Amino acid sequence: MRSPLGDLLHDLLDTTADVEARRAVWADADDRLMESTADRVVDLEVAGLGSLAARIEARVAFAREAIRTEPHRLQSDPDADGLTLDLLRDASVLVDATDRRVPSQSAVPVSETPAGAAGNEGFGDGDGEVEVPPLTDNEVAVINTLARFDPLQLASASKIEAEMDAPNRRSPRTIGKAVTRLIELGLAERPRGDRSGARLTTAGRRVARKVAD
Amino acid sequence: MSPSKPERPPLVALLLAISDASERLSRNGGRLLEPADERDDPIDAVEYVEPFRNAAADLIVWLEIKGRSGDADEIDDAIASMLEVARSYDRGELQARLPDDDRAGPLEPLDQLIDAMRAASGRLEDLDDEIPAQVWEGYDDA
Repeated sequence: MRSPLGDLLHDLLDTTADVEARRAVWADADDRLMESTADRVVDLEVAGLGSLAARIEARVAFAREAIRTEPHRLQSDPDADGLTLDLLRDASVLVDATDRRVPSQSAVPVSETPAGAAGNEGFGDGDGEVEVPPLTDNEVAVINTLARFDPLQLASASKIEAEMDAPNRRSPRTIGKAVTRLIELGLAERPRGDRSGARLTTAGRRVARKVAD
Repeated sequence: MSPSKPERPPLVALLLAISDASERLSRNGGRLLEPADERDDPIDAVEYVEPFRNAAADLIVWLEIKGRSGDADEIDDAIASMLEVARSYDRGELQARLPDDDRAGPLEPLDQLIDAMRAASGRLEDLDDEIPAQVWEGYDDA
């Protein structure tokens, strides 16, 4: 399951081709970042991990400082948010590692939050309304494997093949066909061009979670 | 039954991985940052060191749980310094400069990136000497 901070990162990555859309995501990224980490920080303090909480807060504060000026900077330079994205990634990596090691006492898993109302795309929306399109076994194997990769990472067919469990392993050619189909369905993308690696879109990650259930 | 070989502490695994990556970069020049067969876009320096940031985050959290925030600070700072150079490299901000030691020729941006990776690896190696092996017990169980 991806954290709310991971969702924010993914929303930003999903809109990299559209500066206006990206500016809109950045505009409320500050609130979303706070919302996604505030409870966790308190949680860690209560658990006696104040130093770890402070470390996360420091990274979040660093990212917030950059975020506040992001919509303005993007007006003059469409690639201006690369550094801020990486600072956000810094925070996300630490929060993710914390979530793996320290079970949260208070955080509500994304899948258990109330399903988002129509038009409430993005933060906090659950998987309840996810519509899973008909997928072949190969496509299911590929989408499940792609879901294991970091949201930032682009995976080639050979990387996907290597990541697959042996009994479910498919050939690069089969994987390539499945990725193409997932892209047609809007569940995957090749943000750096047709010959680059692929990753899941936000919709693809939601479908992957649903398929895995 | 032969005695089992002691597992390598995760900090050592990380520093060796960084060291290996810096040596590959040193051997192959900038080719690792150029397009590979499977893609038509070059990987950037931040992308190249990305796996080390992820691995370091796990170590940092573990050390925090074990009450060793000073050691976590050292890892955090070593990796952050390396990342900063990688970001500068990607933004084209590194300029060739003369080396501090007696090496011949200027330090090109790629050399500076390699040096930053070696420095991070060296700092982690120093830190490893200070952390008792017992601290890592159970690390792989989580």
